[in-house]
Amino acid sequence: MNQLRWDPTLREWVAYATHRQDRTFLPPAEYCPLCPTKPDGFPTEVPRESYEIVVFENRFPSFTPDAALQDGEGSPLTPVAPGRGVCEVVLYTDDHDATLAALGEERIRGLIEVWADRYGELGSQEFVEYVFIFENKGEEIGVTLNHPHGQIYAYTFIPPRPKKELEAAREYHGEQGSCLHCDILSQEHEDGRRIVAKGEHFTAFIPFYAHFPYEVHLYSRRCAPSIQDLSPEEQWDLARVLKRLLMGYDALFGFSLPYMMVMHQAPTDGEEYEGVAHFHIEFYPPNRTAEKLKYLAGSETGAGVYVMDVLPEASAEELREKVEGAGS
Amino acid sequence: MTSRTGREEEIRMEREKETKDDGRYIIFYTFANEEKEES
Repeated sequence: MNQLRWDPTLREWVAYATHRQDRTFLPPAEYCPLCPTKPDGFPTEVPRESYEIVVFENRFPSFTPDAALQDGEGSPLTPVAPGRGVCEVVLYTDDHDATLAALGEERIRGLIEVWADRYGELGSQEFVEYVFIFENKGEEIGVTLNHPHGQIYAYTFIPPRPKKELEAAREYHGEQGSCLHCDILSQEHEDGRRIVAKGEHFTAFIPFYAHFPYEVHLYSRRCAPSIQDLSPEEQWDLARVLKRLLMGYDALFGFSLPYMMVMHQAPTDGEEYEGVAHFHIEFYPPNRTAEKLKYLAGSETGAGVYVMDVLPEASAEELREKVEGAGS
Repeated sequence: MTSRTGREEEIRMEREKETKDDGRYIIFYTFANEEKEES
C-alpha cells in the first residue's frame, strides 16, 4: 500500500509504504541482492555476471507509478492521495566492497552522466514534479544494504525542503535581481575560511549556517539549474571535486564516513527556474567526532532548531586539511 | 539502446533497458574507454 496523508499542521505530505517493513535487511555479502548473478549462484536483482552502472525500479518502493487511492480514508481536514511516483536504485559498481569515494574519476564521471539521464527521463513524465537523487551511506544512517548504491525518488510534488529553498531563492531574486546561491557562493569565496575543496567549476564548502558539524555543500560555480545543464567540462570537474571531498571525508576519522548525500536542483513541473534553482549537492555526515554522532533530538526534531557545538570555520579547517592531504 | 558521443570532454555512454521477470525495468549503462577502477 502506497499512500500520502496530508499533515494540515505542517502543510506537508507524509508517505506510507507498509510493504517496506519486509525489505531485505543487512544480508551477508554472499547473499547481497545488488551483486551480479553468478553462474549457479542465487538470482540477484541484476541478471548478469558483471556490470558497470545499473539502474532498476526498487522492489520495495515508497512510491509507485500506478498507486491507487484507497476508499474510506482521509477527510477534508486530512486528505489522502495515492502514493504515486517512481523509486529507482542506482548501483555504482558491481564491486560489493567499494564506495563512491573509492571509484575512479572515470566511473564517477559516468555516474554523473547516469544521474543526468535519470533526471531527464523521470522528469519528462507528466506526473513527476521533482527528481530527487540521493545516497544514504552507512548503517548509522539506516541503510539496509551495504553494496555501494544510491537512490532516486521521482515525486508528484516538490518536497518541503527543496520547496522552502526555492521559495527563498525566488523571493531573493525578486528583491535583489540575482541568484541567492550565486551570492552565497561569492560570499564563501570572499571569506575563504569555510571552503574545503575547489575545482575549476565547482566549490565545496561548509556553509556559514551548517546544521551538521561536517555538512558540506558542493555548488556549481555557474548558475546551472540542474545536473542536466552541466557541460562535459563541468561534469568532469564535479567528478574530481566529489572524489577529493569524499576521500577527505574518509580521512577525517580514519574510517569510511557515513553520510546522506542529496541533490537540489530545478523541479520538473514546467515552471521557470532560471536564476532561482542552482544545482548543488549537500552532504550531511552524522558524526561530530569519531565516536559520537549528532542526533536530531528534541530541539532539532520538535522545534526545528539545530543546536551546534562546533563552528563551521573550525570544522572546515579540519576537513580542508584532510581533503588536501588525501589528494596529494 | 542509445549512445552519446561528441566533444573531446564528453564520454560515450550506452544504455540497454530490459524488463525483469516481475515487470520492473532495469537499465544497464556501459561506458567506452573507461579506465580500470582503483578499488
